[in-house]
Parts: sequence; C-alpha cells; structure tokens
Amino acid sequence: MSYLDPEVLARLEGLRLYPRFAEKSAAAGSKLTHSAKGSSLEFVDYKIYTPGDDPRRIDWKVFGRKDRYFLRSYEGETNCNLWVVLDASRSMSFKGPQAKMSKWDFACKTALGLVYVALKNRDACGLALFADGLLEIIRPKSSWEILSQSAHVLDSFKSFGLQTAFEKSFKSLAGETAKRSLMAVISDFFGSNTEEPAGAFEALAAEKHELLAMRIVDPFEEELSGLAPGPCRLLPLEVGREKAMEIDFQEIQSEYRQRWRQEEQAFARRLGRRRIDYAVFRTLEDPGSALARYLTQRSGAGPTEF
Amino acid sequence: MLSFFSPLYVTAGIAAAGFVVFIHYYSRRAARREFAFSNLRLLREILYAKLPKKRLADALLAFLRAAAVLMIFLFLAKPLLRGVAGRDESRRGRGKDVFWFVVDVSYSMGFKDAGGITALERVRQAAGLTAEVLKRTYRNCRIGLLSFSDAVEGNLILAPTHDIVLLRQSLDRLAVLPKQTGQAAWVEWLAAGKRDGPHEIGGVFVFTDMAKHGFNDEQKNSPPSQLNRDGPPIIFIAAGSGSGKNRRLAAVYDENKGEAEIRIDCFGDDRGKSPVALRIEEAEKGSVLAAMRVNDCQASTVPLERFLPGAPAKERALLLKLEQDRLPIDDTRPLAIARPVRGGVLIIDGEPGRRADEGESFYVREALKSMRYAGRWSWIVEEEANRIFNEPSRSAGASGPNSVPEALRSGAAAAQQIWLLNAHKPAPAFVSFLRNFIQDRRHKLIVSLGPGSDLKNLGELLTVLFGQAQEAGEGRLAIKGLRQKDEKWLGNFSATIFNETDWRKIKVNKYFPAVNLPDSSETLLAFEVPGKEEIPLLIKLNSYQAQIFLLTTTIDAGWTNLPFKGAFPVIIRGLLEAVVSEPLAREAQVGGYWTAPAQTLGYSSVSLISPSGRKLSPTYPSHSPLGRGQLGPTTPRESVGGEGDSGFICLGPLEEPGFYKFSWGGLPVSGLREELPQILAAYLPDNAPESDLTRAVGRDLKVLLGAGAKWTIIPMSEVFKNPKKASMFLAAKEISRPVLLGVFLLLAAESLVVLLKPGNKGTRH
Repeated sequence: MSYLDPEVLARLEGLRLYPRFAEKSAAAGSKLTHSAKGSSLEFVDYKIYTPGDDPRRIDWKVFGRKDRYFLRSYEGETNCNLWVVLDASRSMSFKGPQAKMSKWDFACKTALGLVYVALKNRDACGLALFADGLLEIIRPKSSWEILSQSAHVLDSFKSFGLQTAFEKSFKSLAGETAKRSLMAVISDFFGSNTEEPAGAFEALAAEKHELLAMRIVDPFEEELSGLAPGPCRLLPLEVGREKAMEIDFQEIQSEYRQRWRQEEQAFARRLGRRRIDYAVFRTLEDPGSALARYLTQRSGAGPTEF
Repeated sequence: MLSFFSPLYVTAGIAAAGFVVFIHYYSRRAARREFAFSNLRLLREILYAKLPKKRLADALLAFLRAAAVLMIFLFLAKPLLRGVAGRDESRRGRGKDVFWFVVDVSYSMGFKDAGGITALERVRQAAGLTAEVLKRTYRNCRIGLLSFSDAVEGNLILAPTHDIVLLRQSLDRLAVLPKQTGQAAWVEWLAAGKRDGPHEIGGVFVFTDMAKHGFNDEQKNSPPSQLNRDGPPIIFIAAGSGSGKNRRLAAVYDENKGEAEIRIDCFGDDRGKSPVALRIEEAEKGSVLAAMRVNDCQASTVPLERFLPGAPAKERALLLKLEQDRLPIDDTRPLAIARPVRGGVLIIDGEPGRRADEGESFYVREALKSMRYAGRWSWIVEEEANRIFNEPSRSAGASGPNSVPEALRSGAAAAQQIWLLNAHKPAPAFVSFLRNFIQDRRHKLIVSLGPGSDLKNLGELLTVLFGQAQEAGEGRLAIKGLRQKDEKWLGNFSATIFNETDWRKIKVNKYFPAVNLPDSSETLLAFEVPGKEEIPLLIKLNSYQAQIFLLTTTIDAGWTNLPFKGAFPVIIRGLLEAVVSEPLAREAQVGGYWTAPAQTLGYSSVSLISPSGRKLSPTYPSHSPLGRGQLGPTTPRESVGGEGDSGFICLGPLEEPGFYKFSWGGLPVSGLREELPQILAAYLPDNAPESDLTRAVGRDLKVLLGAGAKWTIIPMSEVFKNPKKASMFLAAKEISRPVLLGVFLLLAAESLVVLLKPGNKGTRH
C-alpha cells in the first residue's frame, strides 16, 4: 500500500500553506510562497482577493475589466523551506478499536499531503523522520522528485523507534537547516512526560522557525471507549519507564478523559504562548479532508481544532 | 451435626470463606485480554493515584463477602443449647431450664496428670465454671448432679437446684470409686428414670476422661437412642489428661484352630511404648495361673495354650488382668475365657449313591446346606471306614478340619457324633470302636436302617431287635405331644405350618419295626396310617451313657418319599441340632443380653443356665429392641417378638462371665438340645473397632443416642478458658435472627462498596 493517496491529494487542490513569519517580514522579502506587488519577479497568476490580502496588490486593470478584485502573483525567490517532521516512534503504530487506520498511516498520508501542497505551490519541501533521534531526512527541494522520494521512504519504513526523544530529535533537525523554516511536526506527542514535547517545541521555536504541531490522536487514546468491560493487560508500545499493567478501563475511564483534556489544554496553551500552531487530527476521519480543512482554516485564521 | 463445636463444620465454614476470598482476588487478576497501548504513562499516573483506595475497597469487599459466608454458616449452625426456655423469663418453670451435670467417678478419674491434678479435680473446676456460665446465661436454671461409674451412684445424686453453692459442695464430696466406666448407665438413668423427662432437660454435661466408650452392642440399639432423638443436647466435657491413652484386653478365637488367643490393644499416644503386666487367674478359685510381661502390647497375641497346657477336661473361666499399668485405664475388669468344646459329626454312609445326586448322604447334605455349622461335618463311606479301622496306619483321602482319619484315629477326642447311614457290614474293629464310642455320655450316635443294614451287629450294639422290613403306605407324620391347636414348635415349623404341610401324602413304603426297645426309649417321630397302629420312625435310645437315635427307615427314595417333602430338612436339622453341641461358643457382653432369632432357637420356653447354675428366663430388658420401653420379665409367649422371620428371643442379663448353656422346655425333643450353643459372656467384645477413643466415643454416642440426637465433645481447656466465649457458644439466646440480619447488612454494605468503588462512579457505557 502506498501512502501517496490520490483521494487525499485531490482534496488538497488549490490549498496553500502560508507561514506567518512571511507575512510579518514581507518588507524584508522573507517568504515561502508569496506575491508582492512591485517585485521584479516573474508574474505567475491571479488570485481572487480575499479579506486580509494586501489591497496594494490589487490589479486595478483587471478590476476594470472584470469588476472583481484580483491580486497579481509573482514567482519570487524562495528563502524559507517547509519541513515535514514525522514522528516514527512505536506509539504511532497504535490503532484503536474504532479507528479506520493507525496513527502512522494517518500521519504518512497527511505528511505526503503537505509535501504535495508545498510542491504544488512550487515551494521547497523536505521530510524528516524522528523517534529517539533523527531516523531519515530528505533535504528540501522544490522539485516533484521530493514527493516520490518521500513516498518511497514512508512506504518502505518499518523500523519504528523504541522511544520518542523530542528534544534530541528537534535539536538534530535544527542543525540540519540554517534557514528559517516552517516545520510541520506530525506526532502523537507522547513523551516520557508532558513537559518534554512542549519544551522541545519551545527550543525549536527559539531558533526562529515557525512550527506547526499536528497531533495525531486515536479515538481510543482520547476516550478509552470501544472495548468490552473487564480487566485488560496492557503492554507498553515504547521502551521506557512504563511497564505492563492490568487495568479495567471502565474503572478509570472518566478520570482518564478528564486528565487527557487537561493535559491537552495545557499543551496547547503552552504552544500558543510561543505562537506555535497546534492542531489535532483524529484517525477516525479521512486524512485528506482533515488536512484540507486545517489548511483552509489556517489560511482564514479559523479554529485549529479538528 | 451443625454445631459451633463441630470441627468439621468450623473447618467447612472457614474453607468456604477462604474460597470466597480466593475467588475474589483470583477473579480480579484474571485478565484474559492483552494488547499494547500507547499512553501508559497517563494510565499509570491515574492508577497509582487511585491504588490505595482501590486496595482498601478490594479488601473491604473481600472481607464483607467472607463475613457474609461465615455468617450464613453461623446462621445454619445455631448454638448448642438453642431453644432452652431459660431465655424467656415469662415462661420460667415451664421450659427446659434443668441441666444435668453427669460426672464420671470411675477409677480412672483418679489418675493424676503431669501437673499432679487428678481428672476428678479438673472436673470439679470445669463443672464450677460451667455452672457459672449457665447461671449467667439462664438466670433461673436448675442444675442437677449425677455421678456414675459402671452404674449410676445412687447416693451421689443431687436433684436439680438453683443453689450453686450446694452444687459446688456436692462436687467437692465426689470421690473416685474403684469401679469401671459405663457410659450407658447414666443415659439409661436419665431416659428411663424420667426425672424431669428427657424433653424437659435443657442439656446434659458429661464430665469424663473418655477412658473408653463403654457401650456394647445391645446398648447401642437401646431405647434411649429412640427417646433421645428429640431430647436434650449432650455435651461431653473431656476432662481427662487429653492423651486418650487406653488399653484393652480381648480374646480372639480362631475357629479353624479351635484355639483362643488373648490380645492386648493399646490406644493413644503411648501405644506400644510401655510394657504391660498381664496376669491370668482362674475365675472360680482365684489362683494365679500365669503372669507375664508384654513389651510390645500393640501386637501381642498370646495363645491360650501357653497358660492352659494340654486339653482341658472341662472349660474353666479365666480372669485376665492388666496390672501395674501406668496409664489412666480403669479397664481392670476381668475377661473370662475358656477353651470351647470341639465338636464334629462323622457320617458313615453305608450305601453311597453311584451318582452325586442320589443316595442318602446326598439328601442329608442338601438338607444341611444352610446350617451354619455344616462345614464341620465329615463324610466317609463305610468301606473306607472299615479299611481305616483295619489298617490304622493308612491315611484316608478325606481332608478338612474334621477329616475322617483324624477323627477316627483320635477316637472320642474329636468326633462326638456319628451317623451311620444304612451301614451294611461294619468291620469288627469298627463296631468295637462304636461300642467304646457310646460309653461316653457326651457322644451321640444316629443310626438309620436300610435294606442292606447289618441288623444283627447293629442290633447288638444298640441292644435292640429288628423285625423284617414291613410295608406301610401313605400316612401322616406325627410328633408325640403335638396337637393341632398347640402353638408349639418343632424346629422352624410352627404348628400352623406343620398342619398345613401335606404330611398325609408322605409315604413310608418300608420300615424296620424295632422291638424289644428298652424302657428308656422314646418315640420322637411316628408315622400314622389310618387303620394301623402308630409306626415309630425316630426313636431315642439311652444306651450305656450315650444317646442313640434310630431311624427305622432310610432316606432313600425307594423306602420313603420323605426327602422330597418340605418337612424333611426340618426333621434332619432338628435331629442334628439335637445331637450336635455348638462347636464354638458365642460371645456376649457381660451385663448384656443374648438375643437370637426365634427360628434358630425354636422354643419359647428356652432359658439360659449361667456358669453358676442360675436359670435365666426370657425377659424384656429395658433397652431391648423388643421391649419398646417396657421393663421387667414377661411370659415366655410374649418373649417372642416380631413376626415371621424377624422374631427374637432375648435372654439375660448375663451377669457372670463364663459359659452359659441353653435349657429347653418340656417338649419331647427338648432333651436333645441340652448341649446346644454355648454363650461365652465376656466383658469386652473382641471385634469392636476402636482406632481412636474420642472418635469411638463419638461413633458410639451417635448410635446410642440416635442420628437425630445432639451431642458434642468439647475439650475443656478450649472453651472454659473464656467464660464469655463459652456463654456465647452455649447460649440459648436466639442468635439466628441477628445473624440473618447481619448477613443482609453485610450484603448491603458489599453492594454499597461496589457502587462507591473508585472508577465505578460516573462510568459511561
């Protein structure tokens, strides 16, 4: 099975991923995919004006003909890359009783969708897999070769990491790129504690990278529902402090849900303070739809909850 | 019995509660599903936070469930003295507010334990404590005191009283008596004496050292077992040294060898360790015959020959005693033992059939098949007997306990009865032997005459003349003195059965008329043919000192059809029972009664002659299965109980040790039965199983008191250490309802705990 799913890609047609820092520092010319009036760059296309666009870029001649606002887009130089950073630890292989696919399958399809969106917009895109360190890395390019290369890497990937080391992995990744980049981290963010992934994000954000935290969640991990009542023996997916334990989910279901929500809110708040975009994707739905909705809402600054 | 003190019941209750706890915890750990999960960290944090509460709830649940099970057991068990009216003050005086203290004052109660305290002193303490407990529990109860050894000690009885001080004084006055223990005595006293009645007694506390059980077979089937069925609970307070040591003498008879052995059984902790001094005395004279030391008493069997060398001319009773015994044994009762009279019947068949199913001996064998001592017969054909007497060194092929060569060679010592079946030509040596044989008054000779009988020689031997064989015909058998309306007996046949039998169709085709019969002869069985004189068929002769029975016809089908009629086995058995002494004595218990099926004895007028010559007539003993509660002697006719095959005759009590003999009434054949079964009365039955004294007590009590009776054995130290505990257990307070309420409360609490258990609150399914 290939994670390069045409249905997913079809849902992403016409969507773009804008870095926030590109808008902020547009004067300095920093951008991922942008159009700026007056630039010396080659004209690429027209784009329908939407509220929030710079009105200075409206092509008034076209407005005269069409009576509608259009913006002119130019192919500018690319000085910021998209890194799709994918968690390849064992915990990502989990698939709950109600989920359509495992978190890993969902993440791979989402990652390739992001790569596709970036390439479609002629942006440079790279892929990194991490677990207890960086496992695979494909340096950013703007050619379509990246997509097939990424798909091949993900399709053939088997060796999940035994544990997740966010800080170490992110530090390695930061060393791989000197440029300010947009990094979309796709993970379940299960670390040895709640502090670790958030701290790693904060450290990476300090390098001036723009970060997207895309959390892949299995419904069972969130609700602990869908299993017949009775005691279960649970084995840890990752190697660490956790040991096997026996538990009756029903006995702790409500408290678990409460704690889950609390931890997630705290995580989101902490990332929000660093202006790190946080989005939750549930494996219960189609990855193409979820990603498309996310990109659409992100571009419109809508809610990031999926 | 579902009692608090039943170890089995307590064990079962604890086991059930334990099982509940086991299931509780086992089921919690039986996680059959297993899978890998990604977010164990959060689960662990939650679980650890809940763990103390969860463990507490689990333990509480297990406790509640186990307690509920135990309470159910308690509810079913109920206290020992439940239902005693003392609980209800308003009904005072009308209920079971009387308790009896029954104290063993037999010799063994004087045995001092390691602390130097006698068992009786311990009993005083225990009884005092028990009285306090009872008084505390039932304020208005009365307590009576009864002491016993081998019988109830009449001068040591305290009527039920409220006065505890008086009771204590009476307890202090108790003293050990040099007597044996007989538990049955007080049971009979309480049951038969009807003092306060068995149904009015709240409980009987028996303070004894359990030295031995002391019940015999007759007592086990006694009326108290019936009367006590709904009677008071009996609580045995084991106030002895606790070791349960005991020794017992028993006599063992080897029926094949015809010898007796003495066995010493030891029980308890000291088995086999301490040597025992055994002394044997002659019962009548009191002279000491032997004294020996038995080291390994567990396996001691001493042949009687060792003390009675040679064949005793007459049986004599011996007293066996255990002396210098360190153990708390009061079983010093002597055991009477004597050599049984050897018996045996030699049948000499003068005209054996050519096939196995013909000839006189065949019919005799068939008739004797069901006789219990038929195995003690020997058969020999006349020719073989002649050869043996002519050639004494020759060994005949016969075998068995009374083999012919042995019997013949040893002469009068072995075979005491000889039956000549149609002897054709006995050898002179054989006739000479027979002449000597009938010199002894103990010997019997039966002669049946047939077509080839040597009438001359036999006639000389019997001093009788025989006429020519004459023909008779179809007629009726008659027994002298038997009339149609007389309800008397002939063997197994009542008069009714006798008259219903088709005697008239019995044919005697030929017979030899015996003439010149001596005056002492007596016709026992006659053949009546209409129109003719009575033809004597079975004649009893007194010749020399012996008794001779003469059958004037043969059992051969050619001379009579008697063998094919139902009356034939009866006649044969009656004849043989008359001449055969019971080869082995039957054992009975001294103090007990001899019961036997009426069919075996056949006479209502039977009586027993004791070793000292006293005549014992049939009686209803107070605890006889026939007595149905009646006391005292009855008429012979009434002494036959039951109907048909279940009739019994009861004789006794056998108060003396030694051999008892039957004595028969005035019927014509009664004189033939003077030496029928002898009864050896001994103190302890040799075959009473007794592996453990306490268990034996329990077993015997169960039999004695009946299956529905309530009784228990309490180690004194266990209960009376804590009078409150004893009061609770013995109390007649109705604890059933509180216990049942407790069960429901526990179950309700269990449900509450389950509901409030961590994790169950707010669970969404």
